[in-house]
Amino acid sequence: MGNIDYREAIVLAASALGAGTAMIAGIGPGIGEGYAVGKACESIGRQPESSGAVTRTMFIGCAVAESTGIYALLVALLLMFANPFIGKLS
Amino acid sequence: MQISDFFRGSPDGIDVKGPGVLLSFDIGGLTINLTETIVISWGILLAVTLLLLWLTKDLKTNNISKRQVAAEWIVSTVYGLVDDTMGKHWHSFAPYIAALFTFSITGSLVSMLGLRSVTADFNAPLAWALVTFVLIHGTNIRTHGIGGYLKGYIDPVPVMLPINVLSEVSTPVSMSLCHFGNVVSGMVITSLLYFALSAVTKAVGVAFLTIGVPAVLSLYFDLFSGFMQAFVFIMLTMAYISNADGRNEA
Amino acid sequence: MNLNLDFLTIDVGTILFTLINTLLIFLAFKLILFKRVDAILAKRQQEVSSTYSKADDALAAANSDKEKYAQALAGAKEEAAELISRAEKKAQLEGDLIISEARTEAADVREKAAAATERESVQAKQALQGEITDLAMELAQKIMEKEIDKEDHDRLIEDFMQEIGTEGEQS
Repeated sequence: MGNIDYREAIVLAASALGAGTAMIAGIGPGIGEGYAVGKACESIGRQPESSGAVTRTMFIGCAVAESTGIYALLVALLLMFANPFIGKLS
Repeated sequence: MQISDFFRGSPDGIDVKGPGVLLSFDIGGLTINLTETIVISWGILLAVTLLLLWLTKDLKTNNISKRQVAAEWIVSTVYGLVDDTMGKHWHSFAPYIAALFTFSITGSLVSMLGLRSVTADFNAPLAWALVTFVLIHGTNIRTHGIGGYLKGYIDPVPVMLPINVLSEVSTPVSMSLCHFGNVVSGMVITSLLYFALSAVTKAVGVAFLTIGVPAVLSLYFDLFSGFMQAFVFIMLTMAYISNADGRNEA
Repeated sequence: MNLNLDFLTIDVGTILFTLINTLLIFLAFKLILFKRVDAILAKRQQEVSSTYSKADDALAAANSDKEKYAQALAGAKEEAAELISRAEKKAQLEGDLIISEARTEAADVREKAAAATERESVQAKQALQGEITDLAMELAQKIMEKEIDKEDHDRLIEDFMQEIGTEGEQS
């Protein structure tokens, strides 16, 4: 524990902060998907006979909308588990 | 171990690794790694082939078995989906869609057997997305001709060329990253949960949480998410390809 | 064995093998499941359509049979009507014949009866003539036997006439 490189410590801390900050992107897909599901519920309420097609399209749309959140998650995971900056120190 | 150890985390920490390499050899300067992904894919291939052989054993025209009902249901469902999404002239595309869906979902579900998900290796969805990419551009060239295809890149104004190229390249990247990210996030969250639960178990001394909770979570992340992502992947594949096909008016 | 790839690596070997595996799984689906099920569906379709065409054939045959029977029935009715009319005609003819025969017979009988009556009356006349002759002879004898006056004469004639009358009534 005694032999710590302060440059490394700074990089690790910044990476952890970066990972946490990246996950702010989770807000966007959350709002977007909630809105999409709400609209889907509305349209199913209006036309219950087309619920199958609406649900299918909604899931596809949700999955696509989710991809930005997934990118943020991947960035966070990269920073945590496969940190690309640590190697740049030496 | 004290409760405070739980908050501090275990001394080994947790690490999310890529697929393990079982064998590695060089062929003409190219390093071929025989990874877990490949071996598990072979297992899936074998299992699926045996399942299909069993499903299509002695088919009859009437007085059919439940097995044959299942086989016919699979075929007619895939045909219906492809016809609905891509139009009648893509009817013969159905086997590829069925294969892609099966490979994707089984690749995600092997994690329930304690193996590493095939789709948690970025290279597997990337390979499928590359197939889709090639099919999109092949279809585009076939319908518009090579000149019309190239003209599509400078569509409104020639300045748009880099943006158009970027948007074309981003299609497979986004498809594969989306699939990979979903599966790998499930994997990471499951391993985090196992880590936390084992820490709690060590602290309390009774293994009461490690039994039920991971199963429920695994049901969501493996079954639902795996199914959803496989479905989304085939839907996006069909939508992109039929979009490039000029025969569909939509 | 503890060697791992990085969390997010692009590994050409894995991509290549995944492509090959995808191709193989696609071939498995195409050549095992879809080919066989398509074949069996086509066969079933064929069977169904052949069953339908067989049913159509049977229906057509039944319809033609029905028509034939209807024709046969109509023919039978005609035949029956013809038979009846023929029989009626024949009966009429026979009846006419019988009636005419009966008429001729009746005429015969009448003729014969008339002939017999004439003959009888001739016979009766002859018999009467014979009797008259006898009576005249008797009367002449009686006149010869005794003288009779005018009154006796008349009474004699009257008696005689009465005798004739009773005898004529008797014969």
